Amino acid sequence: MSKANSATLASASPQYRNWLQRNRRDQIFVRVTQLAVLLVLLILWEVLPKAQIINPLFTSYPSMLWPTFLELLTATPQQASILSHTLSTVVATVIGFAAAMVLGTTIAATLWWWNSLYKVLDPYLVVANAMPKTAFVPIFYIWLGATLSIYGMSLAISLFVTILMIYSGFQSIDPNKIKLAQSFGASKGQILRKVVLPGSVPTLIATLKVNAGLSLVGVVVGEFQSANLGLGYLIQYGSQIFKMNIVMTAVTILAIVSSVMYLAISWLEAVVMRRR
Amino acid sequence: MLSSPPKLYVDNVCMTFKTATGVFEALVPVTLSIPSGRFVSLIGPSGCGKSTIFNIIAGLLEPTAGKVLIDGVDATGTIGRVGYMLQKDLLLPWRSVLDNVILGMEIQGVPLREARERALSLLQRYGLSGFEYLYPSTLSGGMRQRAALLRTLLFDTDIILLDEPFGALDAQTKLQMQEWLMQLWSDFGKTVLFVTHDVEEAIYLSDEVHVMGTRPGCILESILIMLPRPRVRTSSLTPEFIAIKEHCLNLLTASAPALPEAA
Amino acid sequence: MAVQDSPHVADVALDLAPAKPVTNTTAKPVHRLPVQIDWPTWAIVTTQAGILVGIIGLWEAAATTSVIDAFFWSQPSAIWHTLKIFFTTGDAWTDISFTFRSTIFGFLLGTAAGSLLGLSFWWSRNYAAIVQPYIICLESIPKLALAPLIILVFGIGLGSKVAVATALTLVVSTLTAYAGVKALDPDGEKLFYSLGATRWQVFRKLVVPFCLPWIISVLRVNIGLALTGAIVGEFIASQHGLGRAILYAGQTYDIALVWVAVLVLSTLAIIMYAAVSWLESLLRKGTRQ
Repeated sequence: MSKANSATLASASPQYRNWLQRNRRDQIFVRVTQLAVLLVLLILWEVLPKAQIINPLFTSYPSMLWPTFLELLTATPQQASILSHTLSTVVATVIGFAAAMVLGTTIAATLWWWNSLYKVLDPYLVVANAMPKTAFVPIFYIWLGATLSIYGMSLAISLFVTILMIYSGFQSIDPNKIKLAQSFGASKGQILRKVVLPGSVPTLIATLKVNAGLSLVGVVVGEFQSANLGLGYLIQYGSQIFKMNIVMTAVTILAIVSSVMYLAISWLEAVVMRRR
Repeated sequence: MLSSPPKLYVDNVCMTFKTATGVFEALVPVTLSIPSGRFVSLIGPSGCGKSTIFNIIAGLLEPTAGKVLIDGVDATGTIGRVGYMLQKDLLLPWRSVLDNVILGMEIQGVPLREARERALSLLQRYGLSGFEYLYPSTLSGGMRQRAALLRTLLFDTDIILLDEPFGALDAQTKLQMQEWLMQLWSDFGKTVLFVTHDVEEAIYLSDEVHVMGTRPGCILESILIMLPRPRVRTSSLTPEFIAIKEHCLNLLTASAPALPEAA
Repeated sequence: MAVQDSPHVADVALDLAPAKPVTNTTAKPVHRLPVQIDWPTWAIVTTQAGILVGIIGLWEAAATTSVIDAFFWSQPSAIWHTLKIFFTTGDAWTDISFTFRSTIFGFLLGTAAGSLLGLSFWWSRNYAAIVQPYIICLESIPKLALAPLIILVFGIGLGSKVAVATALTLVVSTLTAYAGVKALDPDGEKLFYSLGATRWQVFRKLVVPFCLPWIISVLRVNIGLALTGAIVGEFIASQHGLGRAILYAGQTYDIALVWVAVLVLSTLAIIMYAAVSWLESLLRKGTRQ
């Protein structure tokens, strides 16, 4: 039905104005309610501990977030400002998932190229993917030391997902497109470069989205264990000395960091998809 | 005719939609009076409000004004009064053909075993025997359409609405399905309201054809088809048939809006 | 072994070649379609086994000849020895059971609650619009970062591990079930209402079965997440569990024990993953998707 596009415009009609108003009112209602819910949550978080209904030791207060942030800018554990803690986490995450993307895509392309190798490695990949990578944090620490172990965890946690996702993306390219390229006499390398890789851009971006989150988790868990820098370290440190202000501030920054990364990838997705 | 009310009476039904760009008049007052057991077709260009009329008769849409009377009783905005087959077959992929067909009875609270028994004999009689326990994904387009139609029929209402049921089928299957539908109609004596784009299909199947116009949706002309029944394929070659077809096509062409339209 | 249509394509290329008038302008290179020969299954299985045996053999040899430091890397024979001790006199079964229970409870709780929450969005668009940004917000917080906090609130026992595992799985299930709800065909609802269905009937007979494949598709992801949650919970503070065993062994530089615990944990992970995959295929068959 093409009700909308064959609409006869009656911009002056009172019904239309009425409808527009109601529509706007509905949207405003939803937005206002969303804000109200947020406000109520914040107020509850502020008031309940103050009234000793829940234990403030566990929750801190939202009003403490900003002062704690300011305080952490100067006087902080490990003589590092909260900004360098944040930077350290971000850098480890980006390095980890960038490395995982490059390495994973290369390996996936190799497996695509050489099917027998894929068949040989398939069980190993599935097993590696099913293993809880975070369990390796202590052993990575022993092998790689404080800093490298975090990069290593960031890479390890997203590498196998990357290989499997991108490989299955390669597999799902329409075989007729490959046949078409072959009928033009394309070599395998040309098929990979001109058909398979460009056709897999949506898969690559979907993988990127998954990996950014995974790598951040890998970094934070690594920092819980073995770091003396980073937001994960701040969270662990704060909860050990029962300073919930620090924990909550670090968690908030972490949430912001992860949202920004997610938005950045979504933006990238929009740009790439518009070009297609 | 005067003493007993018509099976279905659509009384001056209007419909206006409010869309993002303004108020859109989908239907100006439309009146239809359909006696029991008739086969009635609506034809018209897309956007003429055929589906809107169906949604209103089925009670899925409240008309802006007007009423729908079934057996003389006001049925405006009440659901479950008529069998409605939408354009898509909408078979549920997780149910076997048999369990899809009994959906209407199941919703109405008929015990499952009884519903299945009733459906089984029908499926066997109407060309779906051997398919009862298969899942829709394994069926061809024609078979899916048969299942969807039987589902509508088994809902056991006097009136059934068919919205372009054969629109997506290939020409060969479509002809088979028309014969099949005729068979069903003469066996069950339901009152059928049929929407189609295909003028020949409408004339071949119907007792009366209503030609609709667009912007706003309305009935341009109602034509009684007096061709004798049972009809055969070659009926469409008779002068009477061709004359009616020509008349309908003229109406449709005349009502079509001039192409470069002022916005 | 070759792909069926490859000779066909090659034939066409060959047939065309002589038919073409011999011109000296642009002679296109004509070559056969490269055909890749797949190894037979026995060769693949042998290589797979060979890789495993080779790695273990090399590792053992390198450690005994001090090419790698056996203190840092341990060696297969020592790991095997520790494994036997872990299962005979050690806490193997206590730890396995603790980790297993945390994972399963968290998995069940998070998946069930999340799926129900996601499905509940079908009932009201306004309610969905209001709650959705919070769910997405929750999704964007790395929930594992909250693990220390959860441990503080729920204590060091089983409850806190279950809570971390639940937190990880809940949001994923919610969003997936909601994606199912959003993919629902409005015409399907129309059909149900035209048959006189109530809202509850539509929910039970259309919405739930329609969304089931979505809910099922997330099971394998969730079992992994739940296990990760349980392990990280154990890392932070615990008295039992394989995660604690790994951490403890790492801190005391008992590398063989780290390997043993990692090995056992991986086996547990793979068994649970396989079980859930099997369950998934079973459910998929049941729902005909």
